[in-house]
Amino acid sequence: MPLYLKNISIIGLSLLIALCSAEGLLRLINYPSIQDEAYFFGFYGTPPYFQKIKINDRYFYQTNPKKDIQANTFPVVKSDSTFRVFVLGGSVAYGEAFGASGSFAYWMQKRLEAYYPERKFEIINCARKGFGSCRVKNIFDEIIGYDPDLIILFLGNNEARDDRFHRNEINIEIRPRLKKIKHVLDHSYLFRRLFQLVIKKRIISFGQEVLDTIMKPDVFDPEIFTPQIEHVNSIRSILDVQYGGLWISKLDTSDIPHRDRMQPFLQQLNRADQWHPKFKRIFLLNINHMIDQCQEKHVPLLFLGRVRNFYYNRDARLLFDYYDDTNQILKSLSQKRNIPLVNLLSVFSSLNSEEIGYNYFLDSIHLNLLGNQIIAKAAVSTFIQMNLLDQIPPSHLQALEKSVDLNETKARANYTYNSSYFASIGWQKLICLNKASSRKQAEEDIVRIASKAIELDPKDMEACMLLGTFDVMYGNIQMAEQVWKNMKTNFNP
Amino acid sequence: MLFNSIHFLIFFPVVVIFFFLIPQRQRWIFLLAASYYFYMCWKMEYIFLIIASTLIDYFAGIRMENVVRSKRTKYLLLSLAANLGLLFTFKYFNFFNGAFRSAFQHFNIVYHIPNLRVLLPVGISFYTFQTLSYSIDVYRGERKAERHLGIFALYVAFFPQLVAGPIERSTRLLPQFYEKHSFNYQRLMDGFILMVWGFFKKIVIADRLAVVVNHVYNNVSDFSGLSFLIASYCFALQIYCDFSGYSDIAIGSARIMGFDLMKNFNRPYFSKSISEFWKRWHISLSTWFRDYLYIPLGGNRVKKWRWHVNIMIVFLLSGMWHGANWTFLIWGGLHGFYLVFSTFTHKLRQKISSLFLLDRFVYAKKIFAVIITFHLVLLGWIFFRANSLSDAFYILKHIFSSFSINIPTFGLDQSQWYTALLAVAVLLIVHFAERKNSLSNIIRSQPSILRWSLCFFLVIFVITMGYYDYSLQFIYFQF
Repeated sequence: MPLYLKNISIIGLSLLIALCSAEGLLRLINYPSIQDEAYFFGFYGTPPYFQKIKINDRYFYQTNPKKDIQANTFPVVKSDSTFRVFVLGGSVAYGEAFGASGSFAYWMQKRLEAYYPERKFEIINCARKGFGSCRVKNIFDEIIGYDPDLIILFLGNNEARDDRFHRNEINIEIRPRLKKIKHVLDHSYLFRRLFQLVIKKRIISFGQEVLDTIMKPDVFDPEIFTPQIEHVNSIRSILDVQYGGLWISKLDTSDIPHRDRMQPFLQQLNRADQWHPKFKRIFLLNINHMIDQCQEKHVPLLFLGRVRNFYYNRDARLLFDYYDDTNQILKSLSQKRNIPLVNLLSVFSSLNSEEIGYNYFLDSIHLNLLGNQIIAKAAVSTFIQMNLLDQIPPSHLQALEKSVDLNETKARANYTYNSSYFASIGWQKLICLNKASSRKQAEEDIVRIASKAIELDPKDMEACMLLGTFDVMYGNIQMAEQVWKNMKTNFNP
Repeated sequence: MLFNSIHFLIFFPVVVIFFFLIPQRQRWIFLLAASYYFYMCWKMEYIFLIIASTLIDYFAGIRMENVVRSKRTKYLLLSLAANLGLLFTFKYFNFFNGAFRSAFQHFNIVYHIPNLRVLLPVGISFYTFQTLSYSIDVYRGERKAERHLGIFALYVAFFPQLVAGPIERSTRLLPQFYEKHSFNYQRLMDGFILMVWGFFKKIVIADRLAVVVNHVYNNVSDFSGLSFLIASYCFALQIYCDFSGYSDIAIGSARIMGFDLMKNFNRPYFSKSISEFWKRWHISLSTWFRDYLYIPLGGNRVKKWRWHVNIMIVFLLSGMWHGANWTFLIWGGLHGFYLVFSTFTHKLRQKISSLFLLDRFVYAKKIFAVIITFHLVLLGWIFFRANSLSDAFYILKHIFSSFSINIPTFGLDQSQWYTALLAVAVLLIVHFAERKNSLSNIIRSQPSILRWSLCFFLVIFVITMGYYDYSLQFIYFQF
C-alpha cells in the first residue's frame, strides 16, 4: 500500500475512533440532555408522543414522559360511552402558568361531566408551549390513529418564526438511503451538540431571550434601569417576562455597558418582516394537511380562533403584525372546507372590553383561569351545536350553569388577574437572573429569596405574591390559595 | 481579542500562514502589526500606552548603555517612573484615593480629589513588568540595550503573551526574534496540542465552574456551609485552569511559530509546601519578584527578622500586583505569613513527623503535605475571589456552619455537573501522567493510530464539552 494511502487510512480510522469515543462519552453523561434542546430544535418534535402500556391486563396509551407534553393516559380500546377529544396547540391551549389543572381543556372536561353525567369524557391535552403548526402536525399524525371523536386545533401564536426554524420543522422527503443516515444523525448526541453550537437557537420568547442572552451580570445594571422600569410599569407596558422584550425595547440603552450585545436582539425584536408570506404558506399547508386527514377518516375538527388581550396590545403592535393574517386564514379555511370555528375574538369582545385585560388574561396572549373557562364554555356549546353530543334544552342548561362550580376558579383568578403579580414576577426574575446563571437557577433563587423575605417580614406582599405564583405555576393550588387568603387578611388588596 | 473567540480562531491561522510565507527579515514587521492589531481589538486608543512604554524603555536602555554605570540610575528611574506611573494611574489611583478619602472623612476633613473614570488597560501589569525587567537588566549590565526599535517593540507587545503573560525576560525572548524560524511539523503538533489542552482547561473546566463560583461568591448572604466549600474548591480549580489554560495557549501558539516561552505552571496543586507552590504557580511572576525585588532586598542572606520582612514585602506587593483591593493585599500577606510561619515551625514539624513515624511512610507523608498545602492555598483563594473583605470574612465565618443536605445546583444542571467532574478527572489523570513527561511527549510516543485518535478526540472533546459564555473573560486579564 502506498505510504500516502496508509497515512490517510490511519487518519480516517483515528477520526472514526475519536468520533465514536466522543459519542459514547456524551451518551454516558447524557449531554446535551433532551430537555436542553427541547425548546429550540425540531428533532424533539418527532413522534411517537404516546407509548402503549399495560395496566391490569388492559392496554393504555400514555404520554411519553420524554416528550414533555402534559401527562395523559387513556385506554387503547375506547368504550361506547366515551367521548374522546384531543386538544392541539401552543402555550395558550397548554394552559400556560396552570398546566393540566387550569387549561381550557381542564374546564371543558369539568363542564362536560356536569352536562352529561352518564357519559365518560377523555379530554386529552396534547398542546405544548411554543408549538406551531409544524410540530402540531407531527402530533396530529399520531393521535389521528387513537380513535378521536373530536380534534380541537388552537393555533396561530407560534407561526412567526425565523426561516431556519421552519426549515427544521418541515418534513422534507428524503431518499430511503439517506433516511438511515438521517436516523443516525437524529439520534446522535454528538451531532445534536454540534448542531446546537453551529445553529443559533431560535427565539421562542422575547422575554426568555432577554433573560438568557442580555441580562448577563456585566450588562444589566438594575440601578440604571429602575427609574425607567418604574415609568414603563406605570404605563402598564410591562406585564411579564414573556414580553420583557417589549419594555426593554422602550428603554434607553445608551448608558448600558456592552450595549452592542443588545443590538442584534433589539433588531430582531423590531424586525418588520417577522411575519413573512412564506410562513403563511406553511401555516396554510399544515392546516390543510390536518383537514384532509380528518375528512378522510371522518373525524370532526374544530378551530379555535386566535385570541389576544387587545387592551394591552395597543402598545404591542410589533409582536402582533401577523395576528390578523392567522385569524384570516382560519376563517377562510373554515368557510371553504366547512370546518366549525369558534371566533374567540367576538366571544371576548361581547364581554366588557375595557375589563378584559384585568379579568381574563395573564399577559398579552395567555389566559387566566376565568379566560380559560370562557373558552371552554364557548367550545362546548359549539360542539353541542355540531351535534356531536345530545342537545340540552335551554332551561336545563341554565340550571346546569349554576351547578358548575366556579368558586374555585374565581378564587384562583382573583389571585392571578392582578397585573402587578406578573409585573413583580417579571421584575424579580430579571433581578435574580442578573445574578443567576440559568433560568432554572433563577427560579430557585426566586423561591429562596421570597421565602427568606417572608421569614423576615410575613407581610412582604411582593414576596408572598411571588411564592404564590410559583405555587400556581407548579400546580400547588392549595398552597396558592392559602397564600391568597393570607394576603387578603394581611393586605386587604 | 480573546483566545477563546471565533475572532482568534481566524486571526491565528492567518498570522501563522503569513508568518512562514514572509521572508525572515520582514517578519518582525508583520508580527508587530499583528500584535498591535490583537491588542487594538480590545480598545484601540490604549495601544498608545504600550507604544509610550516601549519608546521610553527603548531610549532609556540605549542611554543607560551609553553612559558610565554611575550615571545610569537616572535613566533607570525614568523607566521605573514611567512604567510604575502608568500602573499607578490606571490601576491604583482610585484605590489609594478612596483610602485617603475614608481617612480624611474620619477626621472630618474635606477631600475633593475625584476618582478617575478610566478603564484598566488589559495586561498593563504584564507588559510593564516585562519592560521593567529589560530596563533593570540593562542597568545591571546583564544584557546589552536593544538597538532595533521594531524588535524591541515586538518584545513588549508579542501577542501570545501580551495580555496575561508569561512575563518574559529580554535575555530569553529578544534573541529569538533574530533567529530564523522555519516551519516544523513537530513544533506545529506540539504547539497545537498545548493550545487544545489550554482551551480544554479554559472552556471546559474554568468557564463551567465559573458559573458555580460566581453564583455563590456574588450572593454570599444567600449561602452557607457546604455551598461555600464547594464554590471555594471550584474556584481553586477555576483559577488554575483559567490562568494556566491561557499560558498553555500562549506558549502553544508561540511554539507553532517557533518561539519558546517560559513555563508558567508546573502542576502547582501537587506542591508539598507553600514555598514549592510558588515555584510552580505563575512561575514567571514569582521569579520576577525573586530576581528584581527579593534578591535586591537581600533575600535570605540577611538577619532573620530582615529576611522575614523581605518575604512579607514581596508577597504584599505580589498581592497588590494582582489588584487594587484589600482582598488581594490580604491574600498576598497570607502567603507571606505562611512562608514566615513555616520557617519558625520547620524543626517542630520535623519532630512531629518523626514522632508519628511519618518518615517511614514517605508516600503518605507526601500526600498529607500536598493536602495541607492545597487547603492553605484554598484559604487564600477565598480572599482572592471574594468581592470584598466583609464577604471573605462572612464566608470564613459560615463555611463550616449549617451544612444542609439540600445542595443547590448553582446554575449547572446534572449533565453539566457530570461534564465538569469528568473534565476534572481528565485533568488529574493528565497531571499525574505528566510527572515524568509532558502531554505532547506522551501523545507523541504513542503508535500513530492512537496518537491521531487522541488528538482528534481532544479537539472534539473541547468543542462539544465546552461551556460557551463569552462574558467570562480570562480572570488574569483584569490584572
